[in-house]
Amino acid sequence: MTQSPAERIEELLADRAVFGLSAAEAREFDALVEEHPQKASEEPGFEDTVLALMKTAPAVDMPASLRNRLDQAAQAHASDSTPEPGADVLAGPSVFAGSERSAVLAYVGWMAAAAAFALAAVAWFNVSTSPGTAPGMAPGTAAGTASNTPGGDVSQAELDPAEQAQTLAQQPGTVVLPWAQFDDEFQGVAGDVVWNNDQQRGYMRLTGMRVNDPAEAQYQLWIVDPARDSRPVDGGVFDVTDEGDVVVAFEPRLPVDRPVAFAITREKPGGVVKSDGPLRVIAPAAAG
Amino acid sequence: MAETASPPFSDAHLLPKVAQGDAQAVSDCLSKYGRLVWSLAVRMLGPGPDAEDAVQEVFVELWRCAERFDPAKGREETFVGTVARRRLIDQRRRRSARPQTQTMVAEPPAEAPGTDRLASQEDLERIEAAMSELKPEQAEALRFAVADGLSHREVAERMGLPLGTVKTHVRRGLIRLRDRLATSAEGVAS
Repeated sequence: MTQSPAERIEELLADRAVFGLSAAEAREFDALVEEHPQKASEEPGFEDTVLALMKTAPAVDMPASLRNRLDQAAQAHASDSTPEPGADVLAGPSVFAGSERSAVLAYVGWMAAAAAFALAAVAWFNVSTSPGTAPGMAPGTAAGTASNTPGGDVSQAELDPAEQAQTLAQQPGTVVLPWAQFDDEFQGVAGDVVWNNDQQRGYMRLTGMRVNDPAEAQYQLWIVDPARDSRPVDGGVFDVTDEGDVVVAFEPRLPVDRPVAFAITREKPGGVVKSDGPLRVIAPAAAG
Repeated sequence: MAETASPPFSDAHLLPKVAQGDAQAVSDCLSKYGRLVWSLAVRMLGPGPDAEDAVQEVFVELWRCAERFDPAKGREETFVGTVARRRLIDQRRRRSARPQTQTMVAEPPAEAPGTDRLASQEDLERIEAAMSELKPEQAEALRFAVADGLSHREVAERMGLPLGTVKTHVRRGLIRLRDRLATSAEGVAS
């Protein structure tokens, strides 16, 4: 059955209203809209429908303690929202725990670091995106899975994780981004991120990472994607149990559109929703 | 802030004022949409610290992105609901990504008979009537995906269906529900 562009646009708008679009779907949508702008401009009303369905939920009064907390946040926002020179640079939702202002500043620091790496390394990445084993990496090394990953691709279940990473590295659309050391404590860390935007999955190949005690701390992957959100996407927590090479599969639960960097922090067991950092290692990508 | 006897926020758009730095509008936004956002958070996350943190995130985002609201393109409540739902889903998925030692809220809280709803009784009847016209699997997939905020993978697991089938049910269900609601609204208006 042949589907018209209008029907496909409507489907994608429905998907967007309910689940959000994957990177591949977002590109398809953009292309369709470019070809058929009149179809996309017709308001489908899906958001109103979604809200109507959401409002069948029971009504619950907000606890007084939460209302007080929000009132304080409102006052803080109102006092902070007085425009200052350069204030727009700090615009956007907070990303990290701590006071709101320091949180924003922390994120700006993150972004600045990621952007600086990206700018400095564009040429390098252009010649580094060819498939290949990361420096110091050997197949059959210790392997893990970031806790976001729901079980991996069944078709690849019989492959060693290092082989799976290598297989993905050779597929169209995959980029291989070297880790750049970032924290003094992590001098000597090497390896790369193998990421395929269309498939929304990837592998971290790492060597030289410190072994962590999962009862005390875990590593957490973050994917910086300003095109999607001003908050970095949680890539999941993982452990390094061997001082040798490790390969960690990851599959973010939230769609990633245009990642500009992958970064690792060390957090409390189970990971965090917002990180204070610092970044331990970072793999910047050429934007776009 | 003194409360007035009549609903003070019924039609006025608050977000444009929030975007202009109006402190009263920031507070009014909380009063007008607090119950909606908190109710959705409880529905999707269960009551507790995660829901409270998520609600604070929703309002901070609303205050900061208020300038993106365009009254010509849609209703303010829909804008608020969309921002809230996106943040709540993010929070829910982050939490579900944590190790299983974390407490999960997979099911909405139990409801007492006669529970008050966010929608008016008239709207509830319209929505239920429209939902009853969907195929059962479309209605079930929509409830899981929209009301509970499950990902399409989670909906597929709950329903024991392939991912593609779930997406199809949700798409067709949503399109049909929109059309039925539009028809019933026209009936009410005429």
